[in-house]
Amino acid sequence: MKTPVKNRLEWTVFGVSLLLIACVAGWLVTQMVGTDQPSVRLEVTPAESRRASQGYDLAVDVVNTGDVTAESVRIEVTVPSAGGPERRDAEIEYVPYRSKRRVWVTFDADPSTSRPTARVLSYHER
Amino acid sequence: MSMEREAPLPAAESLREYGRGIAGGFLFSLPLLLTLEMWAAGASFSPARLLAGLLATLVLLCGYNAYAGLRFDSTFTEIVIDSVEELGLGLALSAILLALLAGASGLLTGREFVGAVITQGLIVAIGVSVGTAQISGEGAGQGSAGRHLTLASEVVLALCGTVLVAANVAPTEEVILMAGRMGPGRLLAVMAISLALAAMLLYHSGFSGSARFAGTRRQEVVEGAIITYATALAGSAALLWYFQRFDAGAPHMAVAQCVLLAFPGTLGAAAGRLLLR
Repeated sequence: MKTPVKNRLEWTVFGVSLLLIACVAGWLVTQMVGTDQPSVRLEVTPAESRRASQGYDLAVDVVNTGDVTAESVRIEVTVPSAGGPERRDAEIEYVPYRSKRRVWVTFDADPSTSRPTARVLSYHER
Repeated sequence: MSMEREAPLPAAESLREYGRGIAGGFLFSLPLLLTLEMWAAGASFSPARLLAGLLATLVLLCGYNAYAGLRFDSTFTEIVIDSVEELGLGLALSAILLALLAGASGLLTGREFVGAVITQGLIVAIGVSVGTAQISGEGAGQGSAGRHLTLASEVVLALCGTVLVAANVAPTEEVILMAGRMGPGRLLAVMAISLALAAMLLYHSGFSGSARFAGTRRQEVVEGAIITYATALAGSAALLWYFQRFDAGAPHMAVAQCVLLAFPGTLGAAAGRLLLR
Protein backbone atom coordinates (compact mmCIF):
# COMPACT_ATOMS: atom_id res chain seq x y z
CA MET A 1 0.00 0.00 0.00
CA LYS A 2 1.38 3.38 -1.03
CA THR A 3 1.90 5.85 1.84
CA PRO A 4 0.17 9.17 1.15
CA VAL A 5 2.54 12.13 0.73
CA LYS A 6 1.83 14.63 3.48
CA ASN A 7 3.73 17.33 5.33
CA ARG A 8 4.19 17.36 9.10
CA LEU A 9 1.24 19.67 9.69
CA GLU A 10 -1.12 17.41 7.75
CA TRP A 11 0.04 14.29 9.59
CA THR A 12 -0.42 16.14 12.90
CA VAL A 13 -3.96 17.18 12.00
CA PHE A 14 -4.73 13.61 10.93
CA GLY A 15 -3.26 12.17 14.15
CA VAL A 16 -5.17 14.58 16.39
CA SER A 17 -8.38 13.95 14.41
CA LEU A 18 -7.97 10.18 14.69
CA LEU A 19 -7.35 10.49 18.44
CA LEU A 20 -10.39 12.74 18.88
CA ILE A 21 -12.69 10.38 16.97
CA ALA A 22 -11.33 7.36 18.85
CA CYS A 23 -11.92 9.12 22.19
CA VAL A 24 -15.47 10.11 21.24
CA ALA A 25 -16.33 6.64 19.91
CA GLY A 26 -14.70 4.99 22.95
CA TRP A 27 -16.63 7.23 25.33
CA LEU A 28 -19.90 6.41 23.58
CA VAL A 29 -19.20 2.67 23.75
CA THR A 30 -18.45 2.88 27.48
CA GLN A 31 -21.72 4.77 27.96
CA MET A 32 -23.57 1.98 26.15
CA VAL A 33 -22.04 -0.83 28.22
CA GLY A 34 -24.14 -1.93 31.18
CA THR A 35 -27.35 -0.42 29.90
CA ASP A 36 -29.57 -3.51 29.79
CA GLN A 37 -32.97 -1.95 30.34
CA PRO A 38 -32.76 1.77 29.64
CA SER A 39 -35.21 3.79 31.70
CA VAL A 40 -35.75 7.20 33.28
CA ARG A 41 -34.71 7.45 36.95
CA LEU A 42 -35.60 10.81 38.46
CA GLU A 43 -34.56 12.07 41.87
CA VAL A 44 -36.02 15.34 43.12
CA THR A 45 -34.30 17.20 45.94
CA PRO A 46 -35.13 20.61 47.45
CA ALA A 47 -31.95 22.68 47.72
CA GLU A 48 -31.25 26.21 48.93
CA SER A 49 -33.81 28.98 49.24
CA ARG A 50 -33.54 32.74 49.00
CA ARG A 51 -35.62 35.78 49.78
CA ALA A 52 -37.53 37.08 46.74
CA SER A 53 -39.38 40.34 46.12
CA GLN A 54 -42.61 38.52 46.97
CA GLY A 55 -42.06 35.59 49.33
CA TYR A 56 -39.25 33.07 48.93
CA ASP A 57 -37.68 31.15 46.05
CA LEU A 58 -36.79 27.51 46.65
CA ALA A 59 -34.37 25.70 44.33
CA VAL A 60 -35.31 22.14 43.42
CA ASP A 61 -32.78 19.86 41.74
CA VAL A 62 -34.11 17.20 39.39
CA VAL A 63 -31.51 14.57 38.58
CA ASN A 64 -32.03 11.88 35.94
CA THR A 65 -29.68 9.01 36.79
CA GLY A 66 -31.29 6.77 34.16
CA ASP A 67 -30.28 6.17 30.55
CA VAL A 68 -33.30 7.72 28.85
CA THR A 69 -34.21 11.41 28.61
CA ALA A 70 -37.36 12.52 30.44
CA GLU A 71 -39.58 15.13 28.80
CA SER A 72 -42.31 17.35 30.28
CA VAL A 73 -41.31 16.46 33.84
CA ARG A 74 -43.95 17.72 36.30
CA ILE A 75 -43.01 17.95 39.95
CA GLU A 76 -44.85 18.90 43.12
CA VAL A 77 -43.05 20.79 45.89
CA THR A 78 -44.50 21.18 49.37
CA VAL A 79 -43.39 23.55 52.12
CA PRO A 80 -44.97 22.99 55.56
CA SER A 81 -46.13 26.20 57.26
CA ALA A 82 -48.22 27.26 60.24
CA GLY A 83 -51.28 27.95 58.10
CA GLY A 84 -51.10 24.55 56.36
CA PRO A 85 -48.75 23.12 53.75
CA GLU A 86 -48.07 25.19 50.64
CA ARG A 87 -48.02 23.14 47.42
CA ARG A 88 -46.63 24.24 44.07
CA ASP A 89 -46.35 22.46 40.71
CA ALA A 90 -43.50 23.05 38.29
CA GLU A 91 -42.73 21.64 34.83
CA ILE A 92 -39.32 21.11 33.25
CA GLU A 93 -39.21 20.77 29.48
CA TYR A 94 -36.69 17.94 29.46
CA VAL A 95 -34.10 16.33 31.70
CA PRO A 96 -31.49 14.49 29.59
CA TYR A 97 -30.23 11.14 30.84
CA ARG A 98 -27.47 11.33 33.48
CA SER A 99 -28.06 15.06 33.78
CA LYS A 100 -29.37 17.59 36.26
CA ARG A 101 -31.82 20.45 35.95
CA ARG A 102 -32.64 23.09 38.56
CA VAL A 103 -36.01 24.82 38.85
CA TRP A 104 -36.94 27.69 41.19
CA VAL A 105 -40.35 27.58 42.90
CA THR A 106 -41.90 30.54 44.74
CA PHE A 107 -43.53 30.23 48.19
CA ASP A 108 -45.08 32.63 50.71
CA ALA A 109 -43.57 30.76 53.68
CA ASP A 110 -39.83 30.63 54.29
CA PRO A 111 -38.63 27.14 53.18
CA SER A 112 -35.47 27.41 55.26
CA THR A 113 -37.46 27.23 58.52
CA SER A 114 -39.11 23.90 57.63
CA ARG A 115 -38.39 20.70 55.71
CA PRO A 116 -39.65 21.08 52.12
CA THR A 117 -40.47 17.91 50.17
CA ALA A 118 -40.68 17.29 46.44
CA ARG A 119 -41.90 14.45 44.21
CA VAL A 120 -42.34 13.69 40.53
CA LEU A 121 -45.93 13.79 39.26
CA SER A 122 -45.43 12.72 35.64
CA TYR A 123 -43.03 12.66 32.69
CA HIS A 124 -42.66 11.39 29.14
CA GLU A 125 -39.87 9.05 28.06
CA ARG A 126 -38.08 10.34 25.01
CA MET B 1 -7.37 17.06 3.32
CA SER B 2 -4.63 16.83 0.76
CA MET B 3 -4.82 14.36 -2.08
CA GLU B 4 -2.37 12.23 -4.01
CA ARG B 5 0.83 14.14 -4.83
CA GLU B 6 4.45 13.53 -5.63
CA ALA B 7 5.81 15.88 -2.92
CA PRO B 8 4.29 17.26 0.30
CA LEU B 9 2.50 20.60 0.06
CA PRO B 10 4.16 23.58 1.76
CA ALA B 11 2.67 24.11 5.24
CA ALA B 12 1.25 27.47 4.14
CA GLU B 13 -0.76 25.80 1.36
CA SER B 14 -2.02 23.16 3.80
CA LEU B 15 -3.14 25.94 6.13
CA ARG B 16 -5.03 27.54 3.25
CA GLU B 17 -6.78 24.21 2.57
CA TYR B 18 -7.75 23.89 6.22
CA GLY B 19 -8.93 27.50 6.16
CA ARG B 20 -11.21 26.72 3.23
CA GLY B 21 -12.52 23.68 5.07
CA ILE B 22 -13.19 25.67 8.25
CA ALA B 23 -14.93 28.41 6.25
CA GLY B 24 -17.09 25.78 4.55
CA GLY B 25 -17.82 24.08 7.85
CA PHE B 26 -19.18 27.28 9.36
CA LEU B 27 -20.87 28.40 6.15
CA PHE B 28 -22.97 25.26 5.87
CA SER B 29 -23.59 24.58 9.55
CA LEU B 30 -23.70 27.89 11.45
CA PRO B 31 -27.53 28.10 11.37
CA LEU B 32 -27.65 24.66 12.98
CA LEU B 33 -24.97 25.49 15.53
CA LEU B 34 -27.13 28.38 16.70
CA THR B 35 -30.37 26.38 16.89
CA LEU B 36 -31.55 25.44 20.39
CA GLU B 37 -33.45 22.39 19.09
CA MET B 38 -30.13 20.99 17.88
CA TRP B 39 -28.55 21.53 21.28
CA ALA B 40 -31.50 19.82 22.97
CA ALA B 41 -31.43 16.94 20.50
CA GLY B 42 -27.73 16.29 20.93
CA ALA B 43 -27.99 16.54 24.69
CA SER B 44 -30.71 13.92 24.92
CA PHE B 45 -29.60 11.38 22.29
CA SER B 46 -28.60 7.92 23.48
CA PRO B 47 -24.93 6.88 23.05
CA ALA B 48 -25.99 4.26 20.46
CA ARG B 49 -27.72 6.91 18.34
CA LEU B 50 -24.73 9.26 18.57
CA LEU B 51 -22.37 6.43 17.61
CA ALA B 52 -24.60 5.52 14.64
CA GLY B 53 -24.51 9.15 13.52
CA LEU B 54 -20.72 9.27 13.87
CA LEU B 55 -20.23 6.12 11.76
CA ALA B 56 -22.82 7.15 9.13
CA THR B 57 -21.13 10.54 8.74
CA LEU B 58 -17.72 8.92 8.32
CA VAL B 59 -19.16 6.68 5.56
CA LEU B 60 -20.84 9.67 3.87
CA LEU B 61 -17.59 11.66 4.01
CA CYS B 62 -15.70 8.76 2.45
CA GLY B 63 -18.33 8.62 -0.31
CA TYR B 64 -18.11 12.34 -0.91
CA ASN B 65 -14.31 12.32 -0.97
CA ALA B 66 -14.33 9.35 -3.34
CA TYR B 67 -16.63 11.04 -5.82
CA ALA B 68 -16.18 14.78 -5.30
CA GLY B 69 -12.95 15.35 -3.39
CA LEU B 70 -10.20 17.64 -4.59
CA ARG B 71 -8.91 15.00 -7.03
CA PHE B 72 -10.52 12.06 -8.76
CA ASP B 73 -7.50 9.75 -8.49
CA SER B 74 -7.29 9.45 -4.69
CA THR B 75 -6.51 6.05 -3.27
CA PHE B 76 -8.73 4.37 -0.68
CA THR B 77 -6.21 5.19 2.08
CA GLU B 78 -6.17 8.86 1.10
CA ILE B 79 -9.97 8.99 1.05
CA VAL B 80 -10.15 7.51 4.57
CA ILE B 81 -7.41 9.84 5.88
CA ASP B 82 -9.16 12.89 4.43
CA SER B 83 -12.49 11.80 5.88
CA VAL B 84 -10.98 11.26 9.34
CA GLU B 85 -9.38 14.72 9.19
CA GLU B 86 -12.66 16.34 8.19
CA LEU B 87 -14.63 14.54 10.90
CA GLY B 88 -12.00 15.49 13.49
CA LEU B 89 -12.05 19.11 12.37
CA GLY B 90 -15.85 19.14 12.46
CA LEU B 91 -15.91 17.84 16.04
CA ALA B 92 -13.17 20.26 17.14
CA LEU B 93 -14.87 23.29 15.55
CA SER B 94 -18.21 22.29 17.05
CA ALA B 95 -16.62 21.90 20.50
CA ILE B 96 -14.90 25.29 20.33
CA LEU B 97 -18.00 27.16 19.17
CA LEU B 98 -20.37 25.42 21.59
CA ALA B 99 -17.92 26.00 24.46
CA LEU B 100 -18.04 29.71 23.62
CA LEU B 101 -21.80 29.90 23.12
CA ALA B 102 -23.42 27.26 25.28
CA GLY B 103 -20.75 26.10 27.73
CA ALA B 104 -19.87 29.59 28.92
CA SER B 105 -23.54 30.50 29.37
CA GLY B 106 -24.20 27.33 31.36
CA LEU B 107 -26.86 26.10 28.92
CA LEU B 108 -25.02 22.84 28.29
CA THR B 109 -22.91 21.06 30.85
CA GLY B 110 -21.02 17.78 31.12
CA ARG B 111 -22.52 14.90 29.18
CA GLU B 112 -25.11 17.13 27.48
CA PHE B 113 -22.30 19.25 26.08
CA VAL B 114 -20.53 16.22 24.62
CA GLY B 115 -23.77 15.00 22.99
CA ALA B 116 -24.43 18.40 21.45
CA VAL B 117 -20.82 18.65 20.22
CA ILE B 118 -21.10 15.27 18.47
CA THR B 119 -24.47 16.01 16.83
CA GLN B 120 -23.40 19.43 15.60
CA GLY B 121 -19.89 18.27 14.71
CA LEU B 122 -21.26 15.80 12.17
CA ILE B 123 -22.92 18.55 10.13
CA VAL B 124 -19.85 20.79 10.48
CA ALA B 125 -17.69 17.91 9.18
CA ILE B 126 -19.78 17.61 6.01
CA GLY B 127 -19.47 21.38 5.60
CA VAL B 128 -15.69 21.11 6.05
CA SER B 129 -15.54 18.42 3.38
CA VAL B 130 -17.67 20.33 0.90
CA GLY B 131 -15.88 23.59 1.70
CA THR B 132 -12.45 22.06 1.10
CA ALA B 133 -13.39 20.70 -2.31
CA GLN B 134 -15.82 23.36 -3.50
CA ILE B 135 -14.48 26.66 -2.16
CA SER B 136 -11.36 25.82 -4.08
CA GLY B 137 -8.33 27.97 -4.41
CA GLU B 138 -6.26 28.41 -7.54
CA GLY B 139 -5.78 25.07 -9.19
CA ALA B 140 -7.64 23.12 -6.56
CA GLY B 141 -10.67 22.55 -8.75
CA GLN B 142 -8.57 20.84 -11.41
CA GLY B 143 -9.20 17.56 -9.65
CA SER B 144 -12.63 17.15 -11.17
CA ALA B 145 -11.10 16.84 -14.62
CA GLY B 146 -11.22 13.22 -15.71
CA ARG B 147 -13.78 12.26 -13.08
CA HIS B 148 -16.40 9.84 -14.38
CA LEU B 149 -19.81 10.35 -12.84
CA THR B 150 -21.69 7.14 -12.20
CA LEU B 151 -25.09 6.41 -10.66
CA ALA B 152 -23.38 5.72 -7.32
CA SER B 153 -21.49 9.02 -7.41
CA GLU B 154 -24.66 10.94 -8.34
CA VAL B 155 -26.53 9.35 -5.43
CA VAL B 156 -23.73 10.15 -2.96
CA LEU B 157 -23.57 13.79 -4.11
CA ALA B 158 -27.36 14.06 -3.91
CA LEU B 159 -27.26 12.56 -0.41
CA CYS B 160 -24.64 15.10 0.72
CA GLY B 161 -26.78 17.92 -0.65
CA THR B 162 -29.86 16.51 1.07
CA VAL B 163 -28.13 16.28 4.44
CA LEU B 164 -26.70 19.81 4.21
CA VAL B 165 -30.09 21.37 3.43
CA ALA B 166 -32.58 19.11 5.22
CA ALA B 167 -30.57 18.93 8.46
CA ASN B 168 -31.49 22.57 9.02
CA VAL B 169 -35.18 21.64 9.12
CA ALA B 170 -35.24 18.07 10.49
CA PRO B 171 -34.86 18.86 14.22
CA THR B 172 -37.54 21.58 14.25
CA GLU B 173 -41.04 21.10 15.65
CA GLU B 174 -42.57 22.62 12.52
CA VAL B 175 -42.14 19.39 10.55
CA ILE B 176 -44.21 17.42 13.08
CA LEU B 177 -46.78 20.20 13.34
CA MET B 178 -47.32 20.37 9.57
CA ALA B 179 -47.19 16.60 9.10
CA GLY B 180 -49.99 16.15 11.60
CA ARG B 181 -52.26 18.54 9.72
CA MET B 182 -51.70 17.45 6.13
CA GLY B 183 -53.90 14.88 4.45
CA PRO B 184 -52.89 12.46 1.67
CA GLY B 185 -54.01 14.87 -1.08
CA ARG B 186 -51.74 17.68 0.06
CA LEU B 187 -48.84 15.30 0.63
CA LEU B 188 -49.21 13.96 -2.90
CA ALA B 189 -49.15 17.56 -4.13
CA VAL B 190 -45.92 18.18 -2.18
CA MET B 191 -44.42 15.05 -3.77
CA ALA B 192 -45.43 16.22 -7.26
CA ILE B 193 -43.94 19.69 -6.66
CA SER B 194 -40.71 18.15 -5.32
CA LEU B 195 -40.37 15.93 -8.40
CA ALA B 196 -41.07 18.85 -10.72
CA LEU B 197 -38.52 20.93 -8.83
CA ALA B 198 -35.89 18.22 -9.24
CA ALA B 199 -36.56 17.98 -12.99
CA MET B 200 -36.54 21.76 -13.39
CA LEU B 201 -33.32 22.29 -11.43
CA LEU B 202 -31.43 19.49 -13.16
CA TYR B 203 -32.62 19.85 -16.74
CA HIS B 204 -34.08 23.32 -17.30
CA SER B 205 -32.44 25.70 -14.84
CA GLY B 206 -29.28 26.57 -16.70
CA PHE B 207 -27.45 26.55 -13.36
CA SER B 208 -23.74 25.95 -13.20
CA GLY B 209 -23.18 22.24 -13.75
CA SER B 210 -26.51 21.63 -15.49
CA ALA B 211 -24.96 21.62 -18.98
CA ARG B 212 -24.23 17.88 -18.74
CA PHE B 213 -27.96 17.25 -18.18
CA ALA B 214 -29.06 19.43 -21.14
CA GLY B 215 -30.59 17.87 -24.26
CA THR B 216 -31.51 14.63 -22.52
CA ARG B 217 -34.55 12.61 -23.54
CA ARG B 218 -37.83 12.84 -21.65
CA GLN B 219 -37.33 9.38 -20.18
CA GLU B 220 -33.95 10.42 -18.76
CA VAL B 221 -35.48 13.56 -17.26
CA VAL B 222 -38.09 11.44 -15.49
CA GLU B 223 -35.46 8.93 -14.33
CA GLY B 224 -33.14 11.68 -13.10
CA ALA B 225 -35.91 13.44 -11.19
CA ILE B 226 -37.06 10.17 -9.60
CA ILE B 227 -33.51 9.21 -8.56
CA THR B 228 -32.94 12.67 -7.07
CA TYR B 229 -36.26 12.65 -5.23
CA ALA B 230 -35.81 9.07 -3.99
CA THR B 231 -32.38 10.02 -2.60
CA ALA B 232 -33.90 13.07 -0.90
CA LEU B 233 -36.63 10.88 0.62
CA ALA B 234 -34.11 8.32 1.89
CA GLY B 235 -31.81 11.04 3.28
CA SER B 236 -34.77 12.75 4.94
CA ALA B 237 -35.92 9.48 6.51
CA ALA B 238 -32.41 8.89 7.91
CA LEU B 239 -32.29 12.41 9.36
CA LEU B 240 -35.75 12.08 10.88
CA TRP B 241 -34.77 8.75 12.45
CA TYR B 242 -31.61 10.34 13.84
CA PHE B 243 -33.61 13.19 15.35
CA GLN B 244 -36.10 10.71 16.87
CA ARG B 245 -39.04 11.90 14.81
CA PHE B 246 -40.38 8.39 14.23
CA ASP B 247 -40.71 7.55 17.90
CA ALA B 248 -44.44 8.32 17.98
CA GLY B 249 -44.92 5.12 15.95
CA ALA B 250 -47.78 6.33 13.72
CA PRO B 251 -47.02 5.28 10.10
CA HIS B 252 -48.93 8.23 8.61
CA MET B 253 -46.87 10.71 10.63
CA ALA B 254 -43.62 9.04 9.60
CA VAL B 255 -44.51 9.12 5.90
CA ALA B 256 -45.87 12.67 6.09
CA GLN B 257 -42.70 13.93 7.77
CA CYS B 258 -40.52 12.21 5.14
CA VAL B 259 -42.51 13.78 2.31
CA LEU B 260 -42.37 17.24 3.91
CA LEU B 261 -38.67 17.09 4.71
CA ALA B 262 -37.89 15.70 1.27
CA PHE B 263 -39.19 18.97 -0.22
CA PRO B 264 -36.18 21.03 0.98
CA GLY B 265 -34.15 17.83 0.71
CA THR B 266 -34.86 17.67 -3.04
CA LEU B 267 -33.47 21.18 -3.45
CA GLY B 268 -30.32 20.03 -1.67
CA ALA B 269 -30.14 16.79 -3.65
CA ALA B 270 -30.48 18.52 -7.01
CA ALA B 271 -28.01 21.23 -5.98
CA GLY B 272 -25.65 18.48 -4.82
CA ARG B 273 -25.76 16.76 -8.20
CA LEU B 274 -25.23 20.07 -10.00
CA LEU B 275 -22.72 21.85 -7.84
CA LEU B 276 -20.82 19.33 -5.70
CA ARG B 277 -18.27 18.07 -8.20
